[in-house]
Amino acid sequence: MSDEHHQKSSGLQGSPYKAVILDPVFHVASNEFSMLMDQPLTFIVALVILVFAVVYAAYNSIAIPQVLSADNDPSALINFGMENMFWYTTLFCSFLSLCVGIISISDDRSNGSIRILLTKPLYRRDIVAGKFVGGSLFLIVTVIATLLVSVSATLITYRGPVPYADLTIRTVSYSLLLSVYCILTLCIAMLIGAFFKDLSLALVASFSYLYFGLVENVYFSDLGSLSIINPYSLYWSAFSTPLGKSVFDTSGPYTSWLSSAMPYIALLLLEIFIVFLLVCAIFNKEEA
Amino acid sequence: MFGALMGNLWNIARKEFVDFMESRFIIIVTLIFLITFSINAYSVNANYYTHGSAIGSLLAYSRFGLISGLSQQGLLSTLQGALCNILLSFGGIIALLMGYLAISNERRNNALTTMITKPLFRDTIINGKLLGAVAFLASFFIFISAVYTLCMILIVGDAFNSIIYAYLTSIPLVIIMALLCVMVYYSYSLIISIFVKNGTLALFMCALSWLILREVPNISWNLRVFFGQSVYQSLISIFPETLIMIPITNYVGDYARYNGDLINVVLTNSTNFVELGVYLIILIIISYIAFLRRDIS
Repeated sequence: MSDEHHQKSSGLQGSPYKAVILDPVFHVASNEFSMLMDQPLTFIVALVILVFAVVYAAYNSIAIPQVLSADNDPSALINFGMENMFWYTTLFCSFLSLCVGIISISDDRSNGSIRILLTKPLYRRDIVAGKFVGGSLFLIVTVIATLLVSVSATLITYRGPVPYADLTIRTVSYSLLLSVYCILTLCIAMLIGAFFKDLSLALVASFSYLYFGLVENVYFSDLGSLSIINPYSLYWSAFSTPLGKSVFDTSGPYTSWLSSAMPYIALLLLEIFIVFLLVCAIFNKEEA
Repeated sequence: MFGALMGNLWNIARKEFVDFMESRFIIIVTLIFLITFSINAYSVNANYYTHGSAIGSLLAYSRFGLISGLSQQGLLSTLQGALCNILLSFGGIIALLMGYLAISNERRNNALTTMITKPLFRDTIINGKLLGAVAFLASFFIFISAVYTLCMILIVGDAFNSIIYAYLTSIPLVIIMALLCVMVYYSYSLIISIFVKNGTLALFMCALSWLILREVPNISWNLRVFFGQSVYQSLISIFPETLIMIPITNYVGDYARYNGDLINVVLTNSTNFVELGVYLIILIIISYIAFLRRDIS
């Protein structure tokens, strides 16, 4: 009776979405998403990305016509302009992913909110899955917004010939690839958070990962083909495959990049799955 | 009174130094550095003598500025420049984390509240922390320099014998230059940790601003198409690392461009070092004001 009353009052009766809305994973995910949206850091990173997008767009508006005049190739916008955006979009989006991962586990543990969550009638795997889904959605939205702003700024300032179809398909592919990399970074930060109980240690370990894995990744190149144990090297191999084709390289057909990048993308997805399972396993053993 | 003040200062500095020495994070980061640096040095060592190999030459040049056929003076300046580069890039990140730990970590475990309730001047606390940090970073740099020198002796071999005296006597100056630069990062991180009470956010802010600073040369490179080469030079010269690296390597990794006389390089580019000193003094003054006037607990 009370359930029926609750369903009527909330307007859920007969709704096809009822099962989804009542899903605890969805609740935790939506809470995580809104909490991340309200984080002051999100606004700061968004502002930084905006500034970078404007500066790079301004640079592209001068530099692309110079490249264009050399061989009159309209795809210079993609080859040159989009390739320019790779580093800063990767750097700041993966930085944000790391922060999101730390906030989800370590920070929640530090301020005690995870203890409250653990006392609720929820499976621990639901909590981890909810945080993972919420964080991933937030990162996907961030990546899409970042690329939209960056591409729009370049298009506005450039005003030259634009191969729209090619630009769209390659930008969408890049946004998917960057999202996958950001989700992997999120999982790694969650793993560090689950492993190190002390917030300071988790923060420092995550930051060291960012420094050695992304900023100073040159060290891993000595490992040859084993360098893909570093997630950034794996991501880079997918972006610009060892066959010499980058996602923004228009000298060959799009499908040639896709076919050579697919194994690396599959490996990225596999790593996400494994790291996520590890997070669940460690979190299940956590004392409330 | 003065004796008690110095005693307090000494106690805080010693505690800070011991805390950093025992910190698990320093051990972890140092281990990561040693592993990656050893792989790096091994790789260069394995390829350095194969001059016919383009990869060998490229590795040796890109990692340590080494090229075949260097004169004694060229080799000396290359080794000094590469050491300085390693100390700056690795020391910068360590200093940033130390600045964060000095305030935020102590605030979290209430050690800072306990300390400010003691009969101590707040400026003594800051002085002690700065002194402890300088002592720790100096010891750390000596350790890194020793590891680097051993690796270089293995890589360069007999050519090292002729410059070993000049090289060893120049290490203190390289360490002082690097210390001056990384203390800017330390003070900067200290200020952010004082102002931002949320420890997590404080580290994020430190990390983000450090990333932005590292991107300043790229941004300046892009802006030069509008404002010319002089703006590019001016913009990159406000970046603490480039203030040191420009005189030594012209910021393009050209380590062998001076004749190994580091003292002369410092004297002829004294304005860069004065500018760096001014940055440091300003940041320390701001951290004094913030720490004295702000509610810490």
